[in-house]
Amino acid sequence: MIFHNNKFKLDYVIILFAFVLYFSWSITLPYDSGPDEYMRYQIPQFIYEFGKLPHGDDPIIRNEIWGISYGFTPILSYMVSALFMKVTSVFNQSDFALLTAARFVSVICSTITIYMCIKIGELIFNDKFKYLLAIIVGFLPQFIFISAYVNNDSIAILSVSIIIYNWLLGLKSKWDAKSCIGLSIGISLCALSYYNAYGYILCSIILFIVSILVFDKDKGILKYRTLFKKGLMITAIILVLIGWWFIRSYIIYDGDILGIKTSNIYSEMYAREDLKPSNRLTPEIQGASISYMLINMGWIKSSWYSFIGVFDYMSLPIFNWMYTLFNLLTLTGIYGIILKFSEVLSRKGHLIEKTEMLLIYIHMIIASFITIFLSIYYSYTSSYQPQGRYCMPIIIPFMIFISIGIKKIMQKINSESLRNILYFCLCISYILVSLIVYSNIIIPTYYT
Amino acid sequence: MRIIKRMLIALFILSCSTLIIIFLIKDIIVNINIKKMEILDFSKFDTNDCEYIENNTFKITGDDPYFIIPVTYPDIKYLEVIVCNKNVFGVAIFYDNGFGFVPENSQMKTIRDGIVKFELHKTAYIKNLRIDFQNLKYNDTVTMNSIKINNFKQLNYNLLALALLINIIFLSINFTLLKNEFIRWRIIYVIILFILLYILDSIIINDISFYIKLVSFICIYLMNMLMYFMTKELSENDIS
Repeated sequence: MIFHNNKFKLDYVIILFAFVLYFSWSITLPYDSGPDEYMRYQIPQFIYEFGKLPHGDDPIIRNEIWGISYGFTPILSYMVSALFMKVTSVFNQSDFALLTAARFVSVICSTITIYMCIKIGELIFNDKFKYLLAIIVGFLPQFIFISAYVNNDSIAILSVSIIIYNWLLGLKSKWDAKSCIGLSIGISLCALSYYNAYGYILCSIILFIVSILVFDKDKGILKYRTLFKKGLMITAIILVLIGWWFIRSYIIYDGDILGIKTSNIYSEMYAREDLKPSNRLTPEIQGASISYMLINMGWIKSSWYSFIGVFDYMSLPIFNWMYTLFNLLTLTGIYGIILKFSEVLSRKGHLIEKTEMLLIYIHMIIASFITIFLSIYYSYTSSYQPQGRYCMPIIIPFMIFISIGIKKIMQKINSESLRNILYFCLCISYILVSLIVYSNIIIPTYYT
Repeated sequence: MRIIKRMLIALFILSCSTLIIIFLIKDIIVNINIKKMEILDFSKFDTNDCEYIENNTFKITGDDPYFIIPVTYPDIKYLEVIVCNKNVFGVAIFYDNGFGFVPENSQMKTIRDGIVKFELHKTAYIKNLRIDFQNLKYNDTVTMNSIKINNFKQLNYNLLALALLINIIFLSINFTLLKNEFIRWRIIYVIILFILLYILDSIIINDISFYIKLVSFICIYLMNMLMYFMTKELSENDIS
């Protein structure tokens, strides 16, 4: 047969399969079946039609209900969407073709994320578990959903994967040129994607400085020279890549480089009365405590379930047994992590050997907590939206820990054959669940 | 690159061959189903501007002649009308899925050789079905040989059989690809392929576009390839 006896790499099959699945979802979901897709899609449509970047307050894209548009915040993915739409329009100008072209950015970003996950897995596991990491990230129902509609989240997740990969690469190679450039690209993508992922930028800076000061072989002033030289190179690349956007924002939004303050001002001016920032009934205004919001108002539960998979405008959940399976997988992973951690603590020598990895893990945890904190803060003070997609930038570190935990538990099994079969069944059943979500939830919902 | 090229060619050949098989079989299934369709009893129809006389004949009594088929078949998919009169120009059908007999839910076809066939593209629940005759005047008569409708559920079983067939193809491909040393995996393969059958059936029975079905089929192929390569890789290297 055609595939016999060749050294075909499983990596390519996983990447190709993920790409086809994301694309399949993107052509299946009707227009505006993702959160605020109609508002988001207005940005690439504007760029496509007028050939220029929109002012966030442009009446064409400003939403009548919320009084704002997505044009105030970074719009890198929408710019690429507009480019894809332009290319597609040469062949086909139908609404469906243009929407598919705009969504294609999310498809591509998520496919590259899978590739990055395999690369991260290679550096962390250096064995077949790299595939588990790629599969549990790439075939999580919510991740597939994010890969299929017009949004900024997919590019944010991609940037996180690039950043983490370059953290690992940087510490391994003592921050060679490749890892420095890679980190710069990751940070630039992150800066131009989603504010919820900005914790990774902060952690990158800290990790970079700490790793050079602690692990660099140079002594005294030479160490600082290395830090300055490499730091300057990273900063220069980042400034070149992202500077234009923030300078533009500084000029057109009167010094507001992030655009958030201006967005709030316009929301106050044009939003529907009850949705103006000053009139919104946030948990803070209602006098609820944060713990009350997290537990009694169901923030944790809602965010967790929508992190696994709730589609459309948070109105289309997956089957209950699927949530149970994902919960079981997570609990198994956490149990494995606890086992691993207790083992590491009992062997101090081993801990010292692995300090570099420990440093990365700590930064992953900090960055994840910043993301979760920003989502909680937004829900508490601005608009109560307990949605897992706001926490999606933590998916890579979260799944890395789950993979480590599962690997630890599998290592406890002595039989090689059983271990292989379990691993195979885990990966395949995880993918099958995502296929069942597609065939038994997505298609019947929109086509019957 | 050579491997990717080979893989793409294989994928293309597999997809094309399956699609051809699907369409050939679908055509056969449709024909079988039409033959198996249930013949309706004309005397039970509700009529407007026409009345049932005898021997499958209706007499036109007004300007807007039509009759309503009391649908006890919510999953109706195919409809065939055989008219004996040569003066009937065409037949229009209207289906009411809760919003009345609106033009959006209608089809009109010219009669050729006394026969007209409709395929209802919406799988929506149909409450009532109305048949209008075109080009008829007061006091004309229409004699029909038969009106047949088929139940979609009947077709559904055939599609299930089709899905099974596709999976048998997958199964044979995988079994051919796997050498004897992987025999221990086969029972898992069979279970997984039955789940794939379930997924495939869910995709087939829905009224989705050709492109979505095509991409979905490619997905299932890739799933099979993934299973094959993962098995191969795991058998060559232990995961620990």
